[in-house]
Amino acid sequence: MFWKYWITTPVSLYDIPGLEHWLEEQANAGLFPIQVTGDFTRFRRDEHAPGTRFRLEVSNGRELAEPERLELYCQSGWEYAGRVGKVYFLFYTADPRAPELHTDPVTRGISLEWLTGRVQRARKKQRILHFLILGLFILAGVLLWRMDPRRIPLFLFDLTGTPLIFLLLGFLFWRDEERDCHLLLDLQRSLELGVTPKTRPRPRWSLHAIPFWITIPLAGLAVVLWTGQLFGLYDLPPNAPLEHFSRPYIHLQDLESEPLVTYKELFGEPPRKHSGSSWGQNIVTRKFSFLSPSYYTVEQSLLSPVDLESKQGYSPSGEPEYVYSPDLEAVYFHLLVPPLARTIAMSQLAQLELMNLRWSYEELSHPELDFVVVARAENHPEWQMAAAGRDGHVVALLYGGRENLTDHLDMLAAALK
Amino acid sequence: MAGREKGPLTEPMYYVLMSFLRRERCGTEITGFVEEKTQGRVKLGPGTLYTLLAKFQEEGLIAETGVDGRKRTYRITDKGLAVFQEELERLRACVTDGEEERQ
Repeated sequence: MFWKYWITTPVSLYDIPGLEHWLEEQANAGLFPIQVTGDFTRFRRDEHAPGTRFRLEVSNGRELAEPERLELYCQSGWEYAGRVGKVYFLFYTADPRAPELHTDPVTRGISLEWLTGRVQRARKKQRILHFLILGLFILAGVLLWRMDPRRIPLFLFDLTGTPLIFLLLGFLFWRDEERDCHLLLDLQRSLELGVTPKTRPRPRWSLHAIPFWITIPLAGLAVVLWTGQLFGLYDLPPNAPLEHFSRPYIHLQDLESEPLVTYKELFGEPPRKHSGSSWGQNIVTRKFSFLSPSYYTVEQSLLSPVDLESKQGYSPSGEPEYVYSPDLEAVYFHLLVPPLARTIAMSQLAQLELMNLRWSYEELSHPELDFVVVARAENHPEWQMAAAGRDGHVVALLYGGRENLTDHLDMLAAALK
Repeated sequence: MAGREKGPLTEPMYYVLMSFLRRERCGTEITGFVEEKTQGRVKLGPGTLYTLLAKFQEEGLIAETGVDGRKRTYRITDKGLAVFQEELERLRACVTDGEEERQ
């Protein structure tokens, strides 16, 4: 019984000399191909067969090699080994005296015409599709732009980095495909001019070199990661108390000009929890994202230690009828791609916005920061947001309280050290 | 050129067409003819021969005359003869030009 091996096909099917050469290398190592596709090649363990030559012949759309062709090739010492993808027949010979299949470069070029025609038609269709997708993106962008100009690029630049990864992968696949198509078209053009092109070195890195089976666990991992992110499964430890958190963050009390206390300090018990609300709790949540593998959000709220009995409730604006109760929700992250810091910070502010308010943004400057942006809610001065960044370290926060954030830019800078 | 729009015939194309001038032939006979005629100077690989037979048939330079199992025989057409004649004259002109310049 033969041992069977599955190996990723590291060469594009459009790189005819490259694929033939690779199959010959495998034959030298004792592996004979029994199934070749663009993704993988199945080999059987055979005796080492140095000097074995493999040649790919274009199938011209036929499923089976023509009997006449088989006869001619067989008489010259070439055996049929099977189909490669849907476009080639594979022939081989171990006989060093067997003549080359093609002895005339121009005729060899003619034999590739069907394949190059098919590739060019496919490229045209793909280009139309790419332009359609691009057009849809532009149209969607224009529509969104009319709705809210500041948000247009932001949906592409959220902290997860997922759209960026898709864009990068899309670009890599497109680049590889273009390179392979050019390889084939250049080969055919040269041959028809009577020139046998020199064998090009294999590119140092190509998507073809990635073992195909890696895509299975990777796809599974991506699904798990993205699902986990969606449902906050990686927010570990979930809602940890802030007292034991050592990484830098802005203390809400430091922002305030009067002494305030926590809910627990005031009432001696944790706040009553409402579904979906963390009001009254001072907690940190560690998170994971592709662009910033370890980032965290800190939520704080404090209360004024006044007589609650005479008040109607809690409010960040601190009107006389309410207990003054400022909130601070902030996200801190260190980006792996620092040039994206400002864009992603703006995206975070967009996510922190209270949707029922209108916001106006102001760009400020600070000697220790690369950028500072402060936003205020129109007709609601108690709500403010700020984003600041330095060397890829970013903080974006939503503040509800009496203080003016522009007076505390030093504190933002200190939190990014 | 009547048959090929992409330029003159290459040597293998020329000899393959030549092989049909006197009689019908199958693939193996064509290879033998070219080998013998050129005394081994022109090599005709099976891939080249098969591609040429298919291309010449598609362009109407040769026509299939019979099938015997895996073997097919072909004859040259009037169009094929015209293409061969045109190539012959071109080669003659090339030789004449060369000889003139050498003297």
